[in-house]
Amino acid sequence: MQQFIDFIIRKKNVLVYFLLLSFSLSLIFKTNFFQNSKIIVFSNSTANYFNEVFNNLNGYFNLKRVNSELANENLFLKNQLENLINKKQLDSLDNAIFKYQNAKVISNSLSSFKNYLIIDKGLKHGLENEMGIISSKGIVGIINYTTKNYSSVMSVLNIDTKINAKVKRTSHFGTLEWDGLSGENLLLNDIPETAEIKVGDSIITGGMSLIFPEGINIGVVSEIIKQKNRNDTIANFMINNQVKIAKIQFKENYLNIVVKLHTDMNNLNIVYVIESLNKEEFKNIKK
Amino acid sequence: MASTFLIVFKRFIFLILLQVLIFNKFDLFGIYDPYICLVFILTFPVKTSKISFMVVAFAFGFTLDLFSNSLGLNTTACLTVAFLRSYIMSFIFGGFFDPLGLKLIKNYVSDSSFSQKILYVSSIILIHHFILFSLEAFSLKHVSTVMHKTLITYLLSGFFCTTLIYIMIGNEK
Repeated sequence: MQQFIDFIIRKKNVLVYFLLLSFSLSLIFKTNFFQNSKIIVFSNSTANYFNEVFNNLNGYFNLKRVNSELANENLFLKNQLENLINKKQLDSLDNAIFKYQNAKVISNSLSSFKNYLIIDKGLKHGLENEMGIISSKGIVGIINYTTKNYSSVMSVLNIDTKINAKVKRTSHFGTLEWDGLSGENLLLNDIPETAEIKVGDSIITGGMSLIFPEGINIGVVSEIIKQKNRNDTIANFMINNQVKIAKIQFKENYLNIVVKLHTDMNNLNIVYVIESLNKEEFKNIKK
Repeated sequence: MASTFLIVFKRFIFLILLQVLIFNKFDLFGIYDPYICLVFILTFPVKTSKISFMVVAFAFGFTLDLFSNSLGLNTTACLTVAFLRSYIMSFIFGGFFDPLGLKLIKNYVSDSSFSQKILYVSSIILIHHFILFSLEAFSLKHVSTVMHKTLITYLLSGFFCTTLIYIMIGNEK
């Protein structure tokens, strides 16, 4: 017994370290798996309050830019409205599948691997998980957690985000992911090599889910990396080193496409929440 | 004792505000933020006992987490660096290291060689960033990305932390 107590006294630093470590690790995993733990609700509400106050102060410096963006968008919407009136689609409300709401970004991170935005609307305004968020220029993210007054949005700059997208010109579908190293580029994977994609092609949402409607702008193709080239270099390396591999063919028939985002994630202020009106129906049929 | 407590408390508040309000919005090349909050760990008085150092570092990381929406990440990284600091110090400063803590940071800076300073700052920052980013990504798929980000953020943090430490020494009596 005496030895045991001696041991504890001798190793008290290490013991305290592991005690605190286990507490902090449990915090990480709790917030990852159980989003509605009490601590995160507390932290969100206190931090959000400060962020909102600070953001209100900061907002004045951006007013000019926000104004011009809104004016541009108004112009664009007016043109669309004109088209609609000419087509006489007066019953468009009956067919509406998606409903839009505006919200303000009160905090926005860019520097971690799992970036989140906080917006100033929540359960009170009818927001739920898995609603899409867009800006006037393109997509921003998906809601992953809501409290009474605020919602947290999983940004497209998050290594866990996967978004269904397609190339506008050729209609090839792919998955959009982030590599974690650039604030303005995403990677579009799973597009076969036979697709004739060119630099400058527009990428839009695919419409395979009810999170985003089809045809929302994402970005343009800025670079195409053919996997074949990479394999050629490996093959050359092996030949040069006289490694004889009899019948191994290097087959990777998918392209890696670098997509430059339209949305400037650094300068987000007003965003729109997309609510799907047929969500319940869609869920039922999916069962 | 009271004065040490006051100094630590002042730095705590000052560095949290500096990090949260200014450096978290730095975003060099879009996504890189320097972690100037590490100055708190780097310059923490050596005199205090290790347990209180770890508890304070834990509280420091936790406060940072509350404001950056990343519960537990900064806490774990700060706590581990605080735990390892005395080993790193005795390894790098060798006989010069003074566990009783009668020396001020000023003495450490003026009496150690250039390579010792670089090693001390670098090792603390690199360990902190590596733990922070690998816990954040939490998958082997992203190992190269984690390394890449650790190195670039290390260069940024290193520059800003050293600058701030030199400014602090100028004010220290």
